[in-house]
Amino acid sequence: MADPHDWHVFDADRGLEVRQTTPDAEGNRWEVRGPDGAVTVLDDDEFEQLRAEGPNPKGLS
Amino acid sequence: MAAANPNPSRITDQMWWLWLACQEFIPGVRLGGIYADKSGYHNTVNANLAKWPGNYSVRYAIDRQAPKDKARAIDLTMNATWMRTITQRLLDGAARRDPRMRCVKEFYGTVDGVHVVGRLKDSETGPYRSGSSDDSHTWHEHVGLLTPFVDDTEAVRGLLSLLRGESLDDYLGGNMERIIAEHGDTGAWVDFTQRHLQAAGAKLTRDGVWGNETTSAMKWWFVNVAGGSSADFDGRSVTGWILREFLRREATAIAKAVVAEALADLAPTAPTQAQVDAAVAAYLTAHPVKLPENVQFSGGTLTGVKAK
Repeated sequence: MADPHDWHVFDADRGLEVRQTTPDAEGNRWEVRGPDGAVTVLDDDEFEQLRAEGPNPKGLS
Repeated sequence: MAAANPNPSRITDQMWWLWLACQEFIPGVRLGGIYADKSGYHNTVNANLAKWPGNYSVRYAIDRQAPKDKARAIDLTMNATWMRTITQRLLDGAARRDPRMRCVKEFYGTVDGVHVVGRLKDSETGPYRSGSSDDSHTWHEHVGLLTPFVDDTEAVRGLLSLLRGESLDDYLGGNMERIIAEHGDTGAWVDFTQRHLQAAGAKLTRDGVWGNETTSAMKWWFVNVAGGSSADFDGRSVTGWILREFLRREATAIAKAVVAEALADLAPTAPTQAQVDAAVAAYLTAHPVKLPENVQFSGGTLTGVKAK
């Protein structure tokens, strides 16, 4: 993956935002913030699962 | 039933339609947003001029045209595979100056999941140059449109066609009778037409403006290249059929040039008769042979009778 970045809208319909907190060399850590402000931490595989069809990781809506 | 446009005062029907259409062929795609109250193409011309007047999205005259109250970009969140696919289609379209890219001001995405790549241009027919943006574009594609096209149904249809991976030929095939551009028009389709007319040998200026010169060239092409009758065509327009014919001829010319270049590089695999003659003569000069009587030497092929 790439370098860290600040919060950016991931899914406007569901109110999800994403930021990358660690760079590729440090194993990539993604944070997903829901409309209620709750933050879920994902690794690379979980983030890719979130971007794909099918069930979301860690119960994310 | 498709979701209704949630913000018709800021999102055109065409941009919302584009989002709905992307959902139909990109598995798992999510809308990253169209309108957002921040500087840039996700916001309106009016908002940028009021709050961020120096912003690049309102720098050029084309972007300060109507509709000034509508967002001009769309973000699509996609998985790694579709990020590569969509970004590559946009890159290819930009590289070959595909007329369906006429409405695209800029785009940012990735083809390797690590590095962000992008292109941007300053006018409808201008060349694209490289650009980049933050690394959130490794997971979402940003496509910004030149302002006048956000409510241009045909332009947005063309963009969708390219995103879907449809060839230009197939896209034009759906417009066999429909006029694509005509006398008085300007822009990418006119530029495309002029380029192909020039390539066919027509004398005209390639300026993206369809005037009398282009009409004359179009009629000349129809009669002298396509073999049509001057009575059947006034040269004042170009249809999908003609544009597909341009593409077919361009493909044929490219193929011929490739074959000719390949043949030119090939060395003969067998010597010519002249080379053989010269080699034999040189050998005999260096190695004189006493020929039997009644044997004649033609200098190329040994003839005569076998020595007894």
